[in-house]
Amino acid sequence: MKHLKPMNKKAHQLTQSGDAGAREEVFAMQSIAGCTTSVDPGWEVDPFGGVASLCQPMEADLYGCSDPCWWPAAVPDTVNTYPDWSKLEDTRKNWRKLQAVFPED
Amino acid sequence: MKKNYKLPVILTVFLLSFLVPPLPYAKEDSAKQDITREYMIVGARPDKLFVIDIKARKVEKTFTIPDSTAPQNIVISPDGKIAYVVTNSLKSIVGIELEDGNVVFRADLDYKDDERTWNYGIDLSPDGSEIYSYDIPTKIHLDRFESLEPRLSVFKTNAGLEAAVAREFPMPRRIHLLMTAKSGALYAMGWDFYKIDVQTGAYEVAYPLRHWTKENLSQPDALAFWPSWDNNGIFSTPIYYARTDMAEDNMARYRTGVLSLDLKTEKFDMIDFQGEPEVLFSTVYHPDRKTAYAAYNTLLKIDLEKAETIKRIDLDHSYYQTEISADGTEVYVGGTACDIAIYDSEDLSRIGEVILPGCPDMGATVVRMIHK
Repeated sequence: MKHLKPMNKKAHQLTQSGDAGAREEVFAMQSIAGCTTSVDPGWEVDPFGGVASLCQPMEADLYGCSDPCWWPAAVPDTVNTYPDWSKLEDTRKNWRKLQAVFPED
Repeated sequence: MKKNYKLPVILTVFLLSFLVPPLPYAKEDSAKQDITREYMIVGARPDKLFVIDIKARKVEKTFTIPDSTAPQNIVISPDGKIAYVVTNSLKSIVGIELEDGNVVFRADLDYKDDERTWNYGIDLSPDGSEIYSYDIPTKIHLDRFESLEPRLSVFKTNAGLEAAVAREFPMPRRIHLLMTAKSGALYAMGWDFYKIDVQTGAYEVAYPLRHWTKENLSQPDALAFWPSWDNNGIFSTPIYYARTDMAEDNMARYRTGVLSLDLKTEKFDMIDFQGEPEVLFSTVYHPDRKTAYAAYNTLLKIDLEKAETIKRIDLDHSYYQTEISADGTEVYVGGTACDIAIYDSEDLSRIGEVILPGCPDMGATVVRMIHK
């Protein structure tokens, strides 16, 4: 973590947990029912630093990743806050119809 | 004069043989044909369950799952009549009769107060009388989520549409796949591979993964969500690790293996088969267990005896799950979009496809194989 600087509250907590030797407890993607706590950014690079091993096309991976909350930074939380965001069929054809979401009053 | 009765009798029998069909044999032949008819069961968003006559390349039945969002895991009763589908954003299990679509079972997993619960693993007892569900409950406060202890929930399959939990046991974290051995023992893959006693809830590490101590190998990594044992009796998954005795700039350092568990003998095996940096999501063993197939953006044929990849082709798009026909002649890839692609198991030539009606995305739903 020496090359990364925490920028928000969650990142600070992750850093603190690393210092306390409890980082494994923070890698809790499968421990919380909801997307807001996932730490997997998604959509950037594959494990080898390239893009060849990302899903092709992106739309093929959309629901496989958003339903179990792998892409919390890229798509809305369809589990808890925006369950209706992703009722779209054939995303390879209709991906332009995907909408942005905004906090409700 | 002695009358000869034999000729009329023979003639009568001969003529009757044309009038009366040989029923016992006809029934047996028919039964044999039915047994060999193979069906693929697959879900799709938001609420669909399909029964596919895979050799005919035809979607035979389409069912709508009530109160469903994103069907994921599916398990089939031992008699092939009921599909139990994890759906409703991972928080419900719905049992659907595959003949007529009747809903005969439902368990909502957030059965305790103030819970939001995910299922991350499901299987049935060998006799089909119980469902095992790995549940991850979370208490949602106004200002925070509280991660509760994961549990194994056991339901009776005859419990109807408001099934109550029959037994529950605390479980380790980070489990994502359950599978029942022929003996009835429950295995769970997570950071380690556990063997669970479904009567007492006692568990033990059956095969260490995160905690393995293999010489010169890093901790492994795996993305194992897909059941692939319907036609071969063996669980398998790609698994990744690094050779710590090799230089970091040597790409052969980054290894791929196939981890397997024979669900009859309950023996684990791991075969290291390639060093190329390639992401694979799932594998399936050929029924003869001499070869395996792996898929994601590519489809691989793996010689398990020589421990090497012997053929690789590019796929049209990413697929999550690899499956195989019972006779071992056809390899199927599914999940992600709305098509099942079909390849010849010998040379990996593309020999067919099935497009789901309306082209609904499968996402992370699984593919299961049954025979009638």
